[in-house]
Amino acid sequence: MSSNLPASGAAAAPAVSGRVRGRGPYADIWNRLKRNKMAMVSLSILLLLVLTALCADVISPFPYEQQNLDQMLEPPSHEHWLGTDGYGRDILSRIIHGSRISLEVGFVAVCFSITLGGLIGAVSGYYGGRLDNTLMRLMDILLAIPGILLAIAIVSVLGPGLVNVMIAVGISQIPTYARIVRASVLTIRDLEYVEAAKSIGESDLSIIFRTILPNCMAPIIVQATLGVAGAILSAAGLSFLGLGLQPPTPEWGAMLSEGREYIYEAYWVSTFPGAAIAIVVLALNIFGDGLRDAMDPRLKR
Amino acid sequence: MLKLILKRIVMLVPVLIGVSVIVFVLMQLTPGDPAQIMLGPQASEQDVANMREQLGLNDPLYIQYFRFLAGILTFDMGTSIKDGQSVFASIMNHFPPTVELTIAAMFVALLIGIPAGIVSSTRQYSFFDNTATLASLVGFSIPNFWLGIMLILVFAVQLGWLPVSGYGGGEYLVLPAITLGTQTAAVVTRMTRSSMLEVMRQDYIRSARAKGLAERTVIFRHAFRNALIPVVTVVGLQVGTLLEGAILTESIFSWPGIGRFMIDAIRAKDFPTVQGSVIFVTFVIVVVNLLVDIMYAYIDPRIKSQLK
Repeated sequence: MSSNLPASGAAAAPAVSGRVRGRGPYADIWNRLKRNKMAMVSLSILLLLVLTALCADVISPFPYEQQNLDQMLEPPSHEHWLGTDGYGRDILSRIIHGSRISLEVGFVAVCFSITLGGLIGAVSGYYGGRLDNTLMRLMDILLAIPGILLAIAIVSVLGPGLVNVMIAVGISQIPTYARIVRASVLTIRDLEYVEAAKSIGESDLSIIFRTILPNCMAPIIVQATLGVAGAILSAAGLSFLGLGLQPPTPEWGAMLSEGREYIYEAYWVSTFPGAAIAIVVLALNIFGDGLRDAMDPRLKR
Repeated sequence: MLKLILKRIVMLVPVLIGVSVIVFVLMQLTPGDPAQIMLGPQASEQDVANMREQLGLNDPLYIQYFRFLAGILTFDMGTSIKDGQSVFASIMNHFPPTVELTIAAMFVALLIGIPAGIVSSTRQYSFFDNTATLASLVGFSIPNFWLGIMLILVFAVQLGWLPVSGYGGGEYLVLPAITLGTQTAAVVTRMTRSSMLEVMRQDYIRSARAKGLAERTVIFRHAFRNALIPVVTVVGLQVGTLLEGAILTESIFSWPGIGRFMIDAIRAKDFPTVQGSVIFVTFVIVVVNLLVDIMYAYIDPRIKSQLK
């Protein structure tokens, strides 16, 4: 409940009221988010992950593709912190490099679905009528096919590979964004400031992009955070099934799948890549929840 | 009520037709000539051409589509390229194990989710509540293909209590059901908790307490019954999620259900089978969601009157 009140504790200066009023909406969101410990821990994990992905070549202790047949299936040790796999490759190094792939798939797939879904939703909500009806029925159809099933079907058409996985996962998320953006556009479309923009003769396109969309970012950002988590999970699932990225690519789902072979003698081969997926997805979900609460305190519980 | 049901069924028709178009188009786009795959790489050009003619692959696309649609409506989804069996018969053979797994997973989810949600809501922000909230976030985020392998590692490989994989008696069902049910348990916990918290704030709960009823009676007779409505919806919608999750879970545990059947078909490039199973699973989920909607209207008279 307290999150409805403006933050007052931190600013102790006497003449603070003017400054508080001058603060933008993003500062308010950030202030609310800062007080959510779980969300901040998740954010740190995510930043660490991005850093890991950027500096993968520098920080990984071994080259990720280096095979070492004298050191197959070694348990975690001082030299190989997370052990080695069936080809004697260092698992930690492969997980570090795998973070690049997972982040890439997550972000690209979500950008793809936001762009297409957002466009469909915005046009649908703004123009309404028959166009809206047609587009939304199309989205219903896409939504009727379960996400992973659609992704599997698309990947089996396109074949395995990084880009195809991104497309498959991206397409299956389009309807979600289309619906969210459409709903937001509908609530904003008839407000005074949109009418004002119309009355000064702005074009429809400019109204959609410059007036309407910036004002319905909150639900899109929240959904995108959760969407990245979903995309990483789906991509890892596809690779786990052998339909996504193929070995020897250090993709977490593919690594996990390879590790099943050694489940009797080497638990670490499948345990750690899976743990990496779980931690990243958990962090994204907690952060997304926190972001939702911070952006719209009314929705909180 | 009947009118409502009919209306919903009629609304379903375009969606199902749309799904069949998407699946048909996807399969058309798939590289590889089905006739060639059926006959193998050493077949002569003439044989392949004859096979194409026999399969009707030389007809215009819309004719092929209508044949496909007519096939679905008469439960004839063609024959498998791999073994020449009727696709529909194979699907029917593989569906019961998937239903069994889905029901077991739902049972696990409700057994954990509803009590955890009720206790959480009656002691908001207690240690139990915080733990349950965190656990449900973890349960929701864990990839089920990893959870399954971890369960195998602990309960089958290390402790030896349960079989690693396969199909048979109840002991084979335990690990797959927990694997598949965990995510749903997390969703049910969250939903039960928030729905209970909402209801507990209502005036009639205060009245019930003011009457001097025991807290137990207030919670179960008055609060839980009303809190159940949104939970039922979520549970219904989770049936689809479970069927989807079954694809991965079945692959982990070598469970002979429709999910593993479909993945095997994709690997073998057996497209009539892939096509048939994607359509079948989607139709089942759509129908289940329809039943949930109808049930929802049945439980909650306010919705029934709204939809009239």
